[in-house]
Amino acid sequence: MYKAILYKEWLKIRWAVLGYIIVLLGFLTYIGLEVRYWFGMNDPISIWLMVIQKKILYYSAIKFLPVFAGIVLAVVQFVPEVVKKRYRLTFHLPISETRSLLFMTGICTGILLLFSVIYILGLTIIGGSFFPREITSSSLLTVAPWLLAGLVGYLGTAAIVIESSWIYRLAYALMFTPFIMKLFAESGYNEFQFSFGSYLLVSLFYTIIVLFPGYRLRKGSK
Amino acid sequence: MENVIECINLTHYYGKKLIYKDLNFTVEKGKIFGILGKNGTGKTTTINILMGFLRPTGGKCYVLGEESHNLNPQTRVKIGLLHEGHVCYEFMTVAQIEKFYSRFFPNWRKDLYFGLIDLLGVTYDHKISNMSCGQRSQVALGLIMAQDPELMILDDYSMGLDAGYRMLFIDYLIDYVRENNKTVFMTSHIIQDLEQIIDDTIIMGRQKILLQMPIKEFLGSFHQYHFNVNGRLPDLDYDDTVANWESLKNHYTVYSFKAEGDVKTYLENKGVSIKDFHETSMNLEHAFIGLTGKY
Repeated sequence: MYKAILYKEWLKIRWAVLGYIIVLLGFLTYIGLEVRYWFGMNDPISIWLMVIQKKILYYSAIKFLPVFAGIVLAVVQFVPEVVKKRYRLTFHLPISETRSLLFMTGICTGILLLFSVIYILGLTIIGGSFFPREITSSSLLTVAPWLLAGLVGYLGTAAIVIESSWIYRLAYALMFTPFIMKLFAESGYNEFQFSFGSYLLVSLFYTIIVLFPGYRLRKGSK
Repeated sequence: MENVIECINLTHYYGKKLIYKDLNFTVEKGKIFGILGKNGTGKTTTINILMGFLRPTGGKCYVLGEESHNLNPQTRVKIGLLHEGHVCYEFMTVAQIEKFYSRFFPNWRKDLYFGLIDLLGVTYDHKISNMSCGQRSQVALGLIMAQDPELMILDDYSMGLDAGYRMLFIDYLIDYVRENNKTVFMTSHIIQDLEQIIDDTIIMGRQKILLQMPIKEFLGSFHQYHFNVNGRLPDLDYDDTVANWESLKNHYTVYSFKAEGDVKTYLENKGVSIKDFHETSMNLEHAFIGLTGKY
C-alpha cells in the first residue's frame, strides 16, 4: 500500500523534482565558476577581506532555493488532491488518513533532504576546492537555517493548500511566515550556530500542524 | 434480511439551516437503492454522510455495521465510491491508475477494468485528463468494479454523460451488480434512467422523507387523476387522499395513493362537480414530480 502511495506521489512531483535538481546543479555550477572568477581576478587577501571581514557569502545566490523547492513541492503534490476534492479518493483508501497524510508529507520531506544533501555536497566541493576547511564548514552551518526554511515552507504551503477555509489559511500563513523569515535573518555566517537546535525543535511542531487541515477535510469541513 | 446501510434519526444542519431531521432508512443487502429528491433536499448531504466525509449533527448512520464517519480502513475495502463528476486521479494514465489501485484491494479484478477500458478504444498510456467525461466515467466504474466491493455508493453517476454513455454505464452496472449480488446506493438527476435500475427508493422532500418503498410498489400504488371542473375548485388540502395537486385553468390533476373510486368520492364530498375524470399512467419521473411538485 505504501509503495502505491509512493508511486502516486512520484507521478505528481517527478517533474518538479527533476526540474529543481537541474536548477540547483545550475546554480552550484554558477557559484563554482563565480568563485573561480574571484580568484582569477583578485588577490587572496582581497578575497579574504570579502569573505571574512565584509561577510559576503559567496553562496548567497542559492539562499532562497530550498524554500522555493518546498513551496513548489507542496503545490504540485497537494493541489491535484484538493482540485475536484480528490482528497476524498485518498481518504477512502484502506489506510488511515493520518498515516497516509504523514506518509505523503514524509515522501516530500525525504526529497527535500535529498535536495539538501546535493546542496551541501555542492557547497562542500566548491568550498573545499577554493577555501580553508573552516570557511567550508561555516558555510554549511550558515545554510542550515535556509535548508530548514525549505522544510517549513513545504509544511506551511501544504497546510495552506489542504485547508479549505480561508480564515484557517490565513492563520497558517501567519503561523509559518514569520518563522521562515526569521530563518533568513542572518547578516553574516554562522549566526545560527547556537540557536539552530531550538529552531529545529520548533519545526517538528510544524510537522504536526499539517495533519489538522487533513483531519478537518476528512470530517467534513467542506 | 441483512441491512448494509442503516440510518437512525439522522439529522443535519449547516449552521442554523436544517437540512433534515430524524431521517430513518435502511438498505438491504443485494438491493439497488436510489435516493431521489429535488435540489436542496439533502441528497448530497446524505451521500457525504454515508461516504464518511461528513459527520451528521445528530443520529447515527451505519455502513456495513460501522459508523459511517468512523470507518475502519479494512471496511473501506468493501465500499466502492463513485464521486460526483467521476472524479479520479486525472494525472495518471489508464494503466497507472490500475496499477495504483490494485495494490489496495485483495480481490482486485483486473479483467473487469481492462474489459471496460478496451470498449473505449483508448490505449493504456492514455492520460485520464485527456479523456472525455464519458470515457472518464467508464474508468471510474471500471475501477470500482475491479475493487469488487460489497457496497457501491454512486453519487450522481449520470452527471455530464450523454445518452450513449449513460446507457453503457447502466448496462455494465446492472450486469455486474446482478451477477455478483452487490448492494448499490445511488443518486442521479436523470430519474428516468433509475426506473430500470433501482429496486427500492426513498424520495426526499424538504427536511423529511416523503416515502420509502420498492420502486414497483410506488409505481403501482401512486396514481395521477385528471378532471375538469366548472368554475374554480377551492384549494385542496394535502392529506391521506391528496398527495399533491395542480391546476391549469379549469383542468385539475390530483396525485394520490388511493384508488380512482375513493378519490372521486372524496372530491364529490367536497361538493365539487367534476367532469371527464380519468387516470393516466406515469413513469418514475412523472410520479416523482407528481409527489414532490414542479416547484
